[in-house]
Amino acid sequence: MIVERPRDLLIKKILAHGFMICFLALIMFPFVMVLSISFREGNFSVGSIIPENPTLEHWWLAFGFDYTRPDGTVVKPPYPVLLWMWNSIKIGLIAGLGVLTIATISAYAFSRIRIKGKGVLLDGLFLIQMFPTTLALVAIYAIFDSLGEVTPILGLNSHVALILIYLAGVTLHIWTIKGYFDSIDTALDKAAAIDGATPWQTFRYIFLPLAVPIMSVVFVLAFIGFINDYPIASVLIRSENQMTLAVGSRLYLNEFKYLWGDFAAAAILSGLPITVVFLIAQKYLISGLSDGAIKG
Amino acid sequence: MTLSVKNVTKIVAGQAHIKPTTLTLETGHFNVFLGKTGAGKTSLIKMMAGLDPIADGQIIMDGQDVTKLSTQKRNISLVHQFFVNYPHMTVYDNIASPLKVAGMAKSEIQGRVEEAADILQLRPMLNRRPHELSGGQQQRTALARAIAKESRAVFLDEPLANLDYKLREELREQLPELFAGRGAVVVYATSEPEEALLLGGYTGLMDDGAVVQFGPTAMLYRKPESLMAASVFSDPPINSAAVRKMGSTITMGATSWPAPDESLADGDYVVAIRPHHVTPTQTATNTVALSGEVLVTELSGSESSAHFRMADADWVSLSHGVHPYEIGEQHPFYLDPTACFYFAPDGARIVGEAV
Repeated sequence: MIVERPRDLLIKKILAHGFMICFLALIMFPFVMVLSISFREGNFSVGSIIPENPTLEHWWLAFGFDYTRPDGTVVKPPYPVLLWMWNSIKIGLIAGLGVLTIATISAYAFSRIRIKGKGVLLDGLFLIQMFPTTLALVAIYAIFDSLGEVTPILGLNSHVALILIYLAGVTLHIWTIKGYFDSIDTALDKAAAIDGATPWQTFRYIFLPLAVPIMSVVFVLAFIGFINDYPIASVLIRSENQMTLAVGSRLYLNEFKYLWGDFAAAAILSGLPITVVFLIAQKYLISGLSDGAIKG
Repeated sequence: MTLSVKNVTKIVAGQAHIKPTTLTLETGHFNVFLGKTGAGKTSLIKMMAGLDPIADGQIIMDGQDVTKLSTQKRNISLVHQFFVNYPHMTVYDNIASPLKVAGMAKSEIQGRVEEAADILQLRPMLNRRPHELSGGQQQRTALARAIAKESRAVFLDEPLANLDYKLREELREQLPELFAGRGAVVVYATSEPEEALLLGGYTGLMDDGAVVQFGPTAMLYRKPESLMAASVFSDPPINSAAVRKMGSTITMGATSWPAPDESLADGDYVVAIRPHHVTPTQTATNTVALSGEVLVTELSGSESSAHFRMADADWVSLSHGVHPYEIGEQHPFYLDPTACFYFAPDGARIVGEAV
């Protein structure tokens, strides 16, 4: 028999909470530092955590407004941060939705339709995916440089080109969703066939609604990956106005001056779309919908 | 509407899973497949439904060869032992799904769904999801889907097996009514002989991947064509023993009784007699005295059964009322000689008719 003594319980609680608080502090510390830098006067990376003379200068600049210092000097925003953010969101959403569409349909096909050499195909895709994209950077650059001569839409500096490259990273997500589809009892397929549903109808009305939670996970993961991507975007996008936030932020830290304060404000802004997307997606992350499909 | 199978076979790993089977099932009554687990009932149903491949043979619906037709296009319904409902849809949408897929008008769908829901008393649950229902309600939802869809054939594969006793009784009574006058061929698989008898109609006895006998259910009970058929339709199991016919007498060990038919050639036979024709007291019909050691007794209130051992064979007696047995005692039993089936030693039927 387990007896819980109130005193022991209290000690356990204190220990558990203590551990959690330490852990949280560890995770939060870098974020707090960045936040602190963004409010710190001047562009210094070191200083006290609570700024001595807090200033909104970096935030005003990040949002694209001129900032007038107390001494009367006017500072112009060095880079179009909001435009970069818009680029990031646009590319992230389009590529994320594209990946979701392709991955879901492919996963259904891989899970349910009999295809010759399916296993080899899947393994092959997986193996190719295992090489880091950075390895292919040279090839990607060369390919889109040449394509740009045919049409600028598919050339360097083009968002379409960037989205196309991102779409190629769909394999891992196919595997994820396929794993979920595999776990759905084939009795549902048969029931749908008996109801007279075509494969498309079975996919649309049975599998798609059931897969919403896993699809939202995939979307969030893909979206975060695209928003945070630096290597591909930095190679492909050259002009300032086409940059994503991840690439653009790098400009703050050039060889001649390190604008740590402005960089910090932009960095926090870049976390915003991810947070929003995550909060929206959370609504769809309800699991356990497949309970009660088959009982016996 | 008729559903015929012609010489259909199924081969799994080189072995005949379903031996060549030919049957014609008709509408207007239940077609019951009766057999033990593994006899091939579900396989045969899946083949007719187009869910399992057929090695050879044809399936014909209303004169149309549907062997090559996909399940989707056969216009059938199937209710499993393990009920299958779409977890993310409400009961209403579950019942409506075959109709929606068929592109029926919304108002007509609503009429049909509500009709089916009324028959199966699902009206109050229409807006719930399957996991919010009890097992019986879920199975009724699956049945409602089969009813709402006006299919050419309805396959019910042990639909009541997973329900509790009371609900099973209730639904079993309703089932023939539910499908009466709908014009669909109804196929019902079960492993319980009692269920086949209660549902009436036609029964196909299945054993080891073959339909051993097909006909009106009562006929199957009264005139089993083989020892196998006689045993399938008996619960508790039928008694059988080796006998010898000489002249006008049947001899079984030390016991003998007059032969039913002079035309039966002299020789060795297997006699089979249902347990309720072997009673612990003598009656006007049960006249042939036996004696055996009582091994096990079971009382079910209105009936009592005794398993007894006689001449190294186990016998079962089933009688009305409560009969006092002592385990281990030597007890007399009486057999009705007119209720005996005589089979050739290999199991084929010769003469005799149960009453």
